[in-house]
Amino acid sequence: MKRARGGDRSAFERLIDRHGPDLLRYVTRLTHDTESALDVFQDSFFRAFRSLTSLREPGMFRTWVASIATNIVRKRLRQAKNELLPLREEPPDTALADVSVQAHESAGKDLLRASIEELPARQRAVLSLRLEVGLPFQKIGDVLGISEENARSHHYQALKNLRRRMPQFVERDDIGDRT
Amino acid sequence: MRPRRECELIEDRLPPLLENDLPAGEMILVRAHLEDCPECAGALENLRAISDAIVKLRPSDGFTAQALERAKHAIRGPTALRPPVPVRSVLTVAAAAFLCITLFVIGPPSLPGWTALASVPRELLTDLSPIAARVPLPSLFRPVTNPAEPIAPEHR
Repeated sequence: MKRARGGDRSAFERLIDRHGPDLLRYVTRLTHDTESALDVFQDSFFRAFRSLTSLREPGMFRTWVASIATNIVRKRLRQAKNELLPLREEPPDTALADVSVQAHESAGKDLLRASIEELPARQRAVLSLRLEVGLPFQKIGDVLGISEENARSHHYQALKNLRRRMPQFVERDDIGDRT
Repeated sequence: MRPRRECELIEDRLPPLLENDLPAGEMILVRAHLEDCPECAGALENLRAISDAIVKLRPSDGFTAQALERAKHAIRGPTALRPPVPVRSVLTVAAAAFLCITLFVIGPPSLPGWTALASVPRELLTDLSPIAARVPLPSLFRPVTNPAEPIAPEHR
């Protein structure tokens, strides 16, 4: 982190490798299509690189970049005159849906992904920050500009909503990373 | 058979239970209910399975690799601005330089020369700047004829 703050690009690239995959998962929950997700992701890290010296606590890097990504999406939605983080109406993009042409892709995984997409935007964002980025509720509140209590409430409601859609969901061996 | 209402109350507490976020007393009550109620125990397992599956859910490897490469390219490319300038360092250096120059001109406070500027004859100041001649000097800049003489506030 110290070298990255000094302008060392390769050090910053290592930060991208370390934090990028989880932050990408969050960005895909916020955006409507593959290209938007890639744009927001790229823009977030570019802005983070440019203003890294303003990050006072290096341990907050992941939270900070998630905040940058959230603000970028909000700004774009305002510019497109949409409401803040609206519910996605079109079906998930196939690249984001992990391309279910693979023979072993489970129906449960598809249902899970579709169910997450059906959640209200705020619940979807909180759920992703908690389970995919791994942030505590206080930091989720910082990213989204809500209280910690509010973040907890959204997370619990999101889980209840998912359970309502998938009351028989059980964990299977084929849920997880594709090889 | 357990009253339905009790199970509804317990089900509301299952998500915070997963997060270990219940007060101690409630945790005990919920766990006791779960031991006796297969339906609620099943609901908890369902929630746990959903939560665990989300943790493992990821975009395709190709998409992730593409995203990471684009982010790295953005900071490498010719349109990327120069590495961030540590603004605080620049301000610190500027402030230190200003202080040094100021002390060099005025002299440190502890030395008699602190009144050096005060002892500069007004005529000299006048020569240096026509404007200075018309601006009333504060007491610090009042000419001192006798260094032992205290500088009294000007009476206007």
